Amino acid sequence: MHLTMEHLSKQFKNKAAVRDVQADLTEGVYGFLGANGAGKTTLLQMICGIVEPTSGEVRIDGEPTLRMGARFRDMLGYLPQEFGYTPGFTAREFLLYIASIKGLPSRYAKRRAAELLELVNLGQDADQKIRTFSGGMKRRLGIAQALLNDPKLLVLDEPTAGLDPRERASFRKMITGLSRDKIIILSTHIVSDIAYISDQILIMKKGSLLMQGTAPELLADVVGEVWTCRVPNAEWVSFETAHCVANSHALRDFVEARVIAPTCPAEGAEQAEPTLEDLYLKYFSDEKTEGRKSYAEV
Amino acid sequence: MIDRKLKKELNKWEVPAYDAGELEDTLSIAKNINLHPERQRMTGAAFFFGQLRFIRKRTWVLKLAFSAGMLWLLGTGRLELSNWLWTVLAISGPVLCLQNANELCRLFQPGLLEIQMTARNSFRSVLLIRLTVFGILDFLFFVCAAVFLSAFPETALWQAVLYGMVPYEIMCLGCLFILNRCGEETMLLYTAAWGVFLSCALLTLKISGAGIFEPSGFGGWALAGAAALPALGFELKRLLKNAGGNRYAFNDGTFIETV
Repeated sequence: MHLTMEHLSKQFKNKAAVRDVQADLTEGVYGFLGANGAGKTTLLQMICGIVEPTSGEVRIDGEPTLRMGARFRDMLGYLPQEFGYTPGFTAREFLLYIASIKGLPSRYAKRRAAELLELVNLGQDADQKIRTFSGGMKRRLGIAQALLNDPKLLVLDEPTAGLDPRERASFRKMITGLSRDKIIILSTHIVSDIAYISDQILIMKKGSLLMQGTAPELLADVVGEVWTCRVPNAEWVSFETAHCVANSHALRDFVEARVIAPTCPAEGAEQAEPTLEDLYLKYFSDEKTEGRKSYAEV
Repeated sequence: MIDRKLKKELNKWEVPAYDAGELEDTLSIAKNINLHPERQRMTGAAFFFGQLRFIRKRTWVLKLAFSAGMLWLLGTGRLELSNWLWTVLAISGPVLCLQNANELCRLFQPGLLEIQMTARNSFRSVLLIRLTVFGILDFLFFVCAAVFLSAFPETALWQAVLYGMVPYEIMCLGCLFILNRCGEETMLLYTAAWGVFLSCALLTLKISGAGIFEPSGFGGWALAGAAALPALGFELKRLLKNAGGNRYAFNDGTFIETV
């Protein structure tokens, strides 16, 4: 199956949320990485047919998804950024309701709901009201409803928000198991989730697709620009404002810092193995915390 | 003799030519159903009746109890025609509509709306089923009310129709207007406020002696009903159109702006 985004754009009154995004996706896991306001959610909503593009279109195997209608929705599973549920429903009732609107026959829906509740570790809470669930439990229920119709295209917006590390590991394992015959699109801020499981990573900034590729391909862009160094405490404040600091650890007499810079930032600095987080900071540190330099300003 | 008759009867039957492919097709379909139940989808009728069980029992009980109670009041002559009979009928519409709006608002939860828009059976279908079922139930109520009221010699059928349907129409119009424009968090509050306002307005007009239920008021009621009808159609069309996705904008389940 091919999912093609052709010159997708979305213009609101005074803001271009998505600008001319083009991508061709086949079976596998695709991670969309970007800061808040990068346009990820709007892009995912256009893919799912919730929001109409200003220009461009989404196609499945060459056929526009808008024309496919129910056929497209039948192969789609979607988890929105903010997961909502019908008040008063238990987890099981909610899944049965979603199964119903997805057109699953009643007997199969009951079996499938039970399977998915076990898969996401909510089997024992199946008959509890959703309003009593924690944020992580609600998120897992949201993932379960997206999988009900065994979708060929799975779109998950911030799927691991609110999940603890153990739950995130379990989620990554589940996604890896599903990815063989599906297109799975994840949008997240959590770089490590994307790094582990994505076949391809698409980085978005200010509505545009900045780069796309596998993790090693993308990391090639930041090779030789990640440094570790030790900075005396007295010089730390000026150092921090002058450089793009990815991480720092204060010790007794000095601060150990991980810095992203095109040239050696301090005497004795050593080059370090870059990570996706370093790449993220390189391109997104202009949306920085106060007092810190962005990579562009270095 | 018997054999000739039997032969004649048998000759009337046309036996189609044997097609081995048909058997294979049937076996293949049966196999798919058994081995791939996840690919089976329910029929339209199954979906329609399946949706009914997701309407809260509370909603059914309230609607039926209220309808039965009102019909009992209207039909047993416990209310005087000159006083409260028409008022009770007029207020029934907003109350019935409010029960419907309460049930519909549950579907507009932030986050849930997007999930429903991406399901095979569109959100438009989900809304249509509820609107149809509630509409039929409420229509039956008004028909029964009209039948009961026709037993009173002083009443006219047009009064039962207008005094019942027009407030219902106006209430529906207001609720659809709110559903089309307000955020999910405030929908229920605004529809309730609208229902209370409309009911209080009718009560106030009745108590103040404005004579809204006099036969001379026919023109006003007919005009209000006629004016509300196209607006109601417009808002209903807009609601169903927006329910189909492909919106101008969508932000965490709250309308920003629609086409």
